[in-house]
Amino acid sequence: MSTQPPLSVALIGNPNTGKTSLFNMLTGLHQHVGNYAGVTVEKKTGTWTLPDGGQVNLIDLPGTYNLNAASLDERVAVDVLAGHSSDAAPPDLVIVVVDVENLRRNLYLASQASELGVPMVIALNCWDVAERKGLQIDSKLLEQRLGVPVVPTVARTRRGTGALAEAVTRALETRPMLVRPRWPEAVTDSIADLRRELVETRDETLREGELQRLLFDRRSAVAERLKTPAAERDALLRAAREKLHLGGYQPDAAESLLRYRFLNPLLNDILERQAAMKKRSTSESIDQLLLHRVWGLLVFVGMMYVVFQSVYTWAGPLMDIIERGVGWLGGIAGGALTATPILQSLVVDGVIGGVGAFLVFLPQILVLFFFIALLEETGYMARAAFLMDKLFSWSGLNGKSFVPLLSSFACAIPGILATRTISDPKARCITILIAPLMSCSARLPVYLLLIGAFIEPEYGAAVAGLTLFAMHFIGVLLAGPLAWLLHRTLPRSVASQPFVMELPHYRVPQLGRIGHRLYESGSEFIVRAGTVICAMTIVIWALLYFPRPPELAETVQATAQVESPGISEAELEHRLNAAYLKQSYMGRFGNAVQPVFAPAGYDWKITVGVLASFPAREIIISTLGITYALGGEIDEDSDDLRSTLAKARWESGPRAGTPVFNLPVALSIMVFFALCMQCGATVAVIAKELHWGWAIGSFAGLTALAWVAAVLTYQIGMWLA
Amino acid sequence: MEFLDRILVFLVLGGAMVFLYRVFRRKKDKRGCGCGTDKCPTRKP
Repeated sequence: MSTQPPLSVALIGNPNTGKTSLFNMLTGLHQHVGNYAGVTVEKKTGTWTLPDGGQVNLIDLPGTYNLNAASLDERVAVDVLAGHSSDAAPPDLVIVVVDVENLRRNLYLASQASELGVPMVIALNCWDVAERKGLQIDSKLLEQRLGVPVVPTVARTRRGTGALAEAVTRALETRPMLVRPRWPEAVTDSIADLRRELVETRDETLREGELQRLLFDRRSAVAERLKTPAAERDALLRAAREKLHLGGYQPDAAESLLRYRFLNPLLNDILERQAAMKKRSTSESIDQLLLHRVWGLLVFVGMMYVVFQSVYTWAGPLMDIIERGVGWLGGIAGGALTATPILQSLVVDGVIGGVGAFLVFLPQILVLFFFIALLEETGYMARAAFLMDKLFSWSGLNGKSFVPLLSSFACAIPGILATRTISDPKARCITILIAPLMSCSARLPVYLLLIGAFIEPEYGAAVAGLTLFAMHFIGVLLAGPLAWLLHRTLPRSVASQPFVMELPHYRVPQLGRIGHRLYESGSEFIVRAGTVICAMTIVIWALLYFPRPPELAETVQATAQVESPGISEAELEHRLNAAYLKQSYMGRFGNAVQPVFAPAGYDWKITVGVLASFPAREIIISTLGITYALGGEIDEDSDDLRSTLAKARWESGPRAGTPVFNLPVALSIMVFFALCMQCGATVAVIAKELHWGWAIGSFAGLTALAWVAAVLTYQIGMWLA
Repeated sequence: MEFLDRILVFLVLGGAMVFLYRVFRRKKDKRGCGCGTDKCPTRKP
């Protein structure tokens, strides 16, 4: 008995029309949604249950304005629609998600997709915004004219999703096709030539829509797929475009001219704007201030300052509770495991000390993510990208670079993947290379620890917030000149494109969605702490604990009794712990490498923390936690890592007895972490998106840059102090 | 008791190393974006 594969339905549309919101509503999934273009760069699949009980595979495709497929994300959409995707069957139906405010431009894409011979349903999304703005669209008349079902929807509130499901159920049987333009003779003749030469003579498999892509697009993804040798293929395409030109149509402009000539009469009396539309909308009024070249930037800086400052003023009580909880758990575990001292150290100093030190920062991270989600939900983040575009246009960055860079503030990996929206290969390469300079959330615990230990107690929450803001901005400041340098040195590719971005309307944020974002980031943080961080912490504990030669205890005891005959038992134990730690595998390694980091003011323990953090930055927190716990430097008065760091002293050398951590050292560590690419996953993703050479070069370059900046910070800091 | 102590530590340490190997090894189904999360559902870029 054979089982039929489930039917598949693809969601396509222009960027930022609400495809992913609709996808989440229909499938019950929670894919990340953003109110700016470029959030979806890969197709995503989910199961959608239709009213008749049947299930279909729903594919959410990256947004695209047309099927020219100039960028990698657009190519994903085109490949799926044309049935050339290696891991997705050709869709049985396409839902074109259309923003009602830009009906004409959105239907251009629908018209192109119809040429691929796929049945279609149109979802007129953002219907509520159109109603508020006084737009009137006769959806029934539009349905009659286009020949396919047209359903008004509001993806955010589920409005119209039931009617959409019913329309899709019917359309899967009736297979309605969108009306197609009647092409002039010059176009049909050129396409007939291509069909004869490629399909009939050279046995290529091409649909009508793909032949059109070959004719109309100067650089076409379809052309790259052909089996025909490139020289022969290019000669055929040139001949066909020449014929079109001789027929009176400029090949690059012919398609848009002819399609809009076809669409305009269909839409002319369907779209009516009421008089209210002529007035400036609230969003436009707010934008007069927020997008102003001076006031806009001041508001942006002010807003960021408030956000970062709130991280220190709001999260304190919750952090105290977690710290007390970790201390209590350590006490219980330590008491229960006295019979097995090595396991006791592993659990108390390693797992609880290491992971606990990391978990303490959860409240601060949640506060920051709350504000970021709030700004994104209101529609402000898209404006921030717009402001940044103005600020950095001198560096030669493509305007489309700013959304990937904005994403990199959460994590460089999705940011690097989001560069697939950039069609210019050079601009994409530069954006990938500077993306790791954006301060990702893994750096946050490092800043929080050091600012909390050395800046907040002395200078207060306001300066602490300002420092946190500065640490997030330092990478952006260096990214500009670096991009400029790369722009000047790398060979030129295609002409760069201007930044085109549709700004979403300001809206009241939905608390449910913000809550979900917080839940996602919080649970991701806790799961990471409980899995990868915990496992790495155990390995680092072992490297800091072993070996433990018994003769070392005797040597330390004998030396202590000679040097200080009346030494207390506690002091003796402290000296023994320090000696064990120093000759551990990690201790020996740290001591050997420490001279490299000495100009930045680091002792061997900080060096160990920095080196252990190369696979993942946040490991420094647990490494420092274990190092000071094993060294016996965490006592009742310094039950949290911040106060332990403040009390740490140099053990030997010219600075013996002086504090290891002071303001210049703390700033130097933060600057190093802000600039260094301590993330194995990012190196791997750069290698996959570009090349291993770029990944290694970028790793080495950013590490060197971080070292130089850290040394300068420390030396200048000490000179000023 | 000392023997039990060493065995338990060996087991925990071995378990952590096996876990890290499973997380970061090359997946046959090409899943895992490189973030290190076990069973990461994202396709490799």
